[in-house]
Amino acid sequence: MFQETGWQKRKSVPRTHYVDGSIYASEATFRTEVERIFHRTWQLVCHESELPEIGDFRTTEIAGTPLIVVRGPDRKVRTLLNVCSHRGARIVNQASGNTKRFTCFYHLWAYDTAGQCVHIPRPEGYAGANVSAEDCDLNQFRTEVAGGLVFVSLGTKGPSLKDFLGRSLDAFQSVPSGPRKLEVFHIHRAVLKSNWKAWMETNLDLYHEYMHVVLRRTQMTAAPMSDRKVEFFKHGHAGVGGLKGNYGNVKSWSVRGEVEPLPGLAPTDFRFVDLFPNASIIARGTVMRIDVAIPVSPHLTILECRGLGVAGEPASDRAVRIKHHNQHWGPFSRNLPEDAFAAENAESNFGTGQVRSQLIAREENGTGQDDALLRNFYAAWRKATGIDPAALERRHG
Amino acid sequence: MARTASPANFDAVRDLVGELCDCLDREDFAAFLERCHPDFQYEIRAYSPELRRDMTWFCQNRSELSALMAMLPEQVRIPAKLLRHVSVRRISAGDRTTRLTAESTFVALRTAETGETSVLACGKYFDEFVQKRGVLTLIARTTVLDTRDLGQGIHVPI
Repeated sequence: MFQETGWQKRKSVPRTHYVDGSIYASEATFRTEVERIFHRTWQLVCHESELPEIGDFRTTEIAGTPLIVVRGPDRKVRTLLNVCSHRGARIVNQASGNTKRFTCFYHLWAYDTAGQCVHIPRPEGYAGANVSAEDCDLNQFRTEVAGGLVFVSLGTKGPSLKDFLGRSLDAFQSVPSGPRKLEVFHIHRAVLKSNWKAWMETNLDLYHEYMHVVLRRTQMTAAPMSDRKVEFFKHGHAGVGGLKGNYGNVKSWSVRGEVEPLPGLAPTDFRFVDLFPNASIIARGTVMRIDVAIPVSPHLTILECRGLGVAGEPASDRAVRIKHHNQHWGPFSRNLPEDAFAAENAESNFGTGQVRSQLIAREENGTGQDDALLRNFYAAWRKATGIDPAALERRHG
Repeated sequence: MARTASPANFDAVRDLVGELCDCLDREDFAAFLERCHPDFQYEIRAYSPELRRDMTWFCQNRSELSALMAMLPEQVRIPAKLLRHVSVRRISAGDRTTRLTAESTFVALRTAETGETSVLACGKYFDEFVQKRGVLTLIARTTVLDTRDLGQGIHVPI
């Protein structure tokens, strides 16, 4: 039985200011999310620097759909279904590489980088069934690049990437697409025992900085809370400006003056944008992190994190930038393991249905530690899924 | 070509690698650092098949590491203990008899407070030691991880 707390009994909290615990645990809700969100919206799959040369490819997945992202001879980036048209085998099993064609290991069917089936061994055997290579191309998905970020949409309809992003990346306009391009130097993936939304909440929840000893020291007093400003964009994206970091407040850390900040940023600047549904772009003066929460099941999420520096910079500068990255982010950092702990810890209650609901009710006029980012996320989630995230009455019958 | 260390040094290196693991397992970082040279450098690396290059995931000198470990009581962490099972594969001496290197494999097991044990990570230690006035200290450790999915991640040296 759920033990109702006072605010739940009073039922006076606006429905936009809490979410039902069942949205993290329900198999049906998860299937709806995959179908109506992940199969329809633009998904960030990699950074352009991971595909610098013609023939370079990366494999990834969107909510269980295996993909090959590849740069063709025309330098265009395309995304192909990583499933052989013949017997359904995974064609490419390595994370990256360079090739002119993809050959399935099973029966040696081969595809070019545009997904055209270019070779079937002993094709005459299919003549009786009217099957030829022209019928067997790989599915190709809409792929576009913005500011160096490669996005894929599994859906054939929906907005263009330009419309989808709107002005959400303006805060980084000078960073990823400026004259000094960025490149990925760090990538790590971790399977979290958590719903994907629980991870996203760690990025959307400004109030949770109390959890991080490093943020208590470097961030909460670095600039007035009133300087912070939440900004909303079309399609559920949101960001925050006005955040600062006094990194010298941690013993043995520098104030980040030993290397050039990223273009357009001061060393103390901290900006982030959350792209609905599952990507976060975060810059801390000298270094950038991009993370994507890839849903596997209601209770499992692949967290994929990237660190980015300035392309072509001297090794000594890169080493400093990596050091800055690893202070907050990466598997041995001070902050990221705490966020992952929070996501898994909360899941241990959501997942068993022991949490009736959670509050997202802080109001600070879009400054300070307002929960407006969380409410904006769940408004977009409701619009996409058609499910009321505060559907407590389902429990009351 | 590197020379094989003398049997006495071989034993001392093997013992010190074991002691260092014991210190880390106990989270006695002061004792760990006592066994490290003042110029100690610690690094954790992993190869990324996605990027097709090596990555540095942690790089700290002795004082930096000491400061981070002092902050540990304030970090939010999984209540669990680690056990490092280590096997020294080879020990060699450089041009100077005061410098020794060791390559070891390790498996780190994590035991939760519920008693459940799981494999956290495996990889290799590439250690460099200095011997001065009969005292052996660790001056550099590069931990090269095979494991790249570390779940939540960890706040301590592996």
